[in-house]
Amino acid sequence: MRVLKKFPFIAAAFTILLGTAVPAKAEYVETIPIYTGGDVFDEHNPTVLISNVYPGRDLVRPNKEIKSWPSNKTIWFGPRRYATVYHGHPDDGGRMNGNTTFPAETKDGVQNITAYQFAWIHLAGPFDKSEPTSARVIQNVKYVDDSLIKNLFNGNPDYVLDEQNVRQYYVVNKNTGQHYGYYYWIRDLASLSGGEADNDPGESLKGINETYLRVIKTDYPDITEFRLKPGSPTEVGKKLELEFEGYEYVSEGRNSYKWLIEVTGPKNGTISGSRTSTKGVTNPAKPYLKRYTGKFTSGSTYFTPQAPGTYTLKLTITDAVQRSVSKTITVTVNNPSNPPGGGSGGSGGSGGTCDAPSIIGGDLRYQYELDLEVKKIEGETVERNSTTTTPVEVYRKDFSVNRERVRNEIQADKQRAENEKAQLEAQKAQLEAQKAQLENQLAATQSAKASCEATPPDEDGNKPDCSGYDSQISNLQNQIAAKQAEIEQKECEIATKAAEIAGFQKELDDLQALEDQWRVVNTNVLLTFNGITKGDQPVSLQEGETKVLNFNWVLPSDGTVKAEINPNRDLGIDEITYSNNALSTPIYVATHATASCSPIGGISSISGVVRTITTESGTQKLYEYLTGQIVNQSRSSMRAGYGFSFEVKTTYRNEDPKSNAYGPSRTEAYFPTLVNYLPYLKVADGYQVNMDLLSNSASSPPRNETKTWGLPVVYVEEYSGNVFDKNYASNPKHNPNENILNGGRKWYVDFEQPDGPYDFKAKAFDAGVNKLNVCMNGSVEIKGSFIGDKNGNDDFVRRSVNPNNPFPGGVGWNWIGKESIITALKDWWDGPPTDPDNAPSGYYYKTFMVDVDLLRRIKEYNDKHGTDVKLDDQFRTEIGGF
Amino acid sequence: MNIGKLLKIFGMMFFVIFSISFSYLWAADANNDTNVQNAARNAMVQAINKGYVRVNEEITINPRIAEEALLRQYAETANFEDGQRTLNIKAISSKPAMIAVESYNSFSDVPILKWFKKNEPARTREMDIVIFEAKKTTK
Repeated sequence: MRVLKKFPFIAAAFTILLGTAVPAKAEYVETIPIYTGGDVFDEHNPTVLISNVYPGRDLVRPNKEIKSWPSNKTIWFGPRRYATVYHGHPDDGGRMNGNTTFPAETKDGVQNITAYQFAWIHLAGPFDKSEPTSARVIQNVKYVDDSLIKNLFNGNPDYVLDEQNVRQYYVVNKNTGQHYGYYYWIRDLASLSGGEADNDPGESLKGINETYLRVIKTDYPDITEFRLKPGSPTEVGKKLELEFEGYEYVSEGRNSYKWLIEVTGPKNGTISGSRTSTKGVTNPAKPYLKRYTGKFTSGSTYFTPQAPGTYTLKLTITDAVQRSVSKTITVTVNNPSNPPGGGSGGSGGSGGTCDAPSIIGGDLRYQYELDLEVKKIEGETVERNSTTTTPVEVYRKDFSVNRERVRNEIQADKQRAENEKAQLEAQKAQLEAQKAQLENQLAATQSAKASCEATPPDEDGNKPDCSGYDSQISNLQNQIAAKQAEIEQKECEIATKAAEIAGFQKELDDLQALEDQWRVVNTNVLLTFNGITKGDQPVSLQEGETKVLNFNWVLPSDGTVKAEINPNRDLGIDEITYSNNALSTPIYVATHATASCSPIGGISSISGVVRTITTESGTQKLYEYLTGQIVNQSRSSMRAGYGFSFEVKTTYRNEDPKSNAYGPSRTEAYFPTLVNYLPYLKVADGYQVNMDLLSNSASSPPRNETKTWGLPVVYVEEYSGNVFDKNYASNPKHNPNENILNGGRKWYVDFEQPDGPYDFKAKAFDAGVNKLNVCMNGSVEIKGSFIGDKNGNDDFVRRSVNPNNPFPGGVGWNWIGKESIITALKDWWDGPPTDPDNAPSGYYYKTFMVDVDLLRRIKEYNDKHGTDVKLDDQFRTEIGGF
Repeated sequence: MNIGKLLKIFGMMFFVIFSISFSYLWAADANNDTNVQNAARNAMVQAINKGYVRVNEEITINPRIAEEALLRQYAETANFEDGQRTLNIKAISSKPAMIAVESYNSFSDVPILKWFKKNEPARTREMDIVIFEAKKTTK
């Protein structure tokens, strides 16, 4: 370390010795290190960052392609971004602007580069599940100075870079804790400068590149007019009225501004106020700023000059981001054409009576603020050409705080004027006391003079010289006159002040009158669908009041429904903005959509929009979801002739708390074959069977229900194996001599069903508002038959047995415990022949004496009817012997 | 004719009669045996309660069907139209499925019996027990 520290000095020494400058270009080191991981985010990478510019999220400064998370979309982010600066919005004709150079970090180190290519450090993130990849474009505070704010953003540096206004963000290495300094976020700087910065103008991160950073700068206000109001008096003591108007261009709807008129002349003073501009207008001279433009007008602005002469009036307009412009005019004020008082008896004042007006001012400094707003509109999905209900939430903003502030201002002004008036009255009283004192002195002097003059001549016949009294008296008289003039001046000032007070009181009265007039606003709300009127309802609103209007109308198709309050704008008062008077939301007709059929054993699912809710913050879509699955299938394989069961489980969920929609109303199963004598019809998907609803978990409201569906119970003839539905008794194919077995909720296949997969299908229909449908596939393997399968895939064998050892290979399950049925036949089996004619009664279960004649008759019967035995054949009747 | 010659002739005649009688009885017995086995087996198949098989996956038989089928099958396959036959069902069980059958065939025209002037007929007896058994020892 010591060597390293000394090295520069040694090098310098060599340089001096050699007399040659050795260029030593230091390798540029990025202020914030570039991410060293691959194209997939690794939170454990040593260059993962954290910053309060995106609190609590992992960020990186990527150098190349990196994938977004969780969509895994490949996006390209460079380590820096080059701003394209527009003067005004490019869609409105804004132009690229700026060629002033500023220092900034580039890939070649810190260099002076032009404004419209100004390089910014780019951080990408966050890499978590909360949202797709976003970005933060920042700049080290050391590269942001007044010049940059003025020239790149056209902002007021004193305001923008005031630490009370702009925020500085730190960037720290997540793993090492190394601090990389403080940074400004370009969006903050642009916004505080009255413009905006858009990292992703196309609102799509796909294809973003390093020049995709748009900065829009706006202008300082423009004063287009500042003048004496035509017809305004320009005399002392009379209200001198002024007019001004112009435009301001602050982004994001910020429309407040301040005005200040500095009066310099015979008497100095200021008048000022704050108002709001009306956005949504265009300055013809600057159409490229139209989406930011607000027009301001002066309203009633005046002052009352108290002395004649030339006044200089300097108007200063300051917009919401403290950008100020000024304009100056001069006005000459004359004495009143009917000057107060008369004569010029005294040297100290104009004398005469005061011609003060009864009221000064009185024009309300406050422009009544009204803003009606559609706060929320909902689009309810219904069947095409059915009635939908559209709730529209309207609101009237509350500006009472602003009025109270103005009222307090007026009250303060009035109080100040009253205090000044009291002060003037005190001064007047003091003058009157002084005058009285002078008058006393005058009386005394006059008395002394009279005494002097009444003094008889002395013994020499000389009268006393009383001439000195005259000058005293004259002097006192002048003083008294002067005091009188001062008193009258005070009286005039008091009268003027009283007029001012009256003016303030008028302002208060007018303010109160406005509040009374607009306490309730009666207007209407218009509802349109794709531009066609569908409803119009009146509404009355007080300040701060919210109301919900429900419009019932017939929805013909998908589209957009829009609600607008005060659509005609004819209230007799302008709203401060009309930008929030209308709100639209998409609305849909029921889709009747069917999900693609699930794979065997899989889940089929589908969703649909049931309601859209649009507020000023955006549109939210509420969905309903339907899923279906084949469950509890009793078996995966079986013998031909057997049956299998399964259930269909459907789940329906609806996000709309206003909805009373239900899950599927019916479910059907489809099979490729049909055994006798089920009555089902064949459709495209197979033999169609309506399934029974077995259970329903739905509560009230039924927005989250699970239904279980099962096959209908079938009934089976015990001997024939024919299968019937529940109406078997009335089915002509049913043999009443048969025993009927409950076949359960099963599907039976034919005894001759070939080996192989037996595929079936189920569908659930008409769920929810959108009448959603799902489709599920199922399958069961047919393998062999219950007996006699050539491949040995059977369950039973037919065989002859010897009762002495009937089960040499083990007892089949159906004979377990019942072997005695066979072993009991041992004596019969092993015993000597029994004379059939003399067998004891009951020795045989049944005996047939078959002679040649009987054989012949049986054969004849067989030839006629076949050898298959039927439950209800006539064999016994015709042949006999049973 | 000497005694020896007579004995030779008598022996030859007895042998011929015995041979004819044996052939006759052997044929009758074979026919009876085939009849009983075929009839019992076919009757058991015909008597299967197919509906019970569907529902319970176990073979049972309908005894009434089995009786009739046994008789009709027995008659259908009988081709020895001589003698008196007795077809006995010793036992029958629906569940588990079993039938035990026995058949007697009586013959009076057997030559050797006539030769010995016997009046009692000759008989053949055949028996069979047919069951349906599950291949597995547990269901």
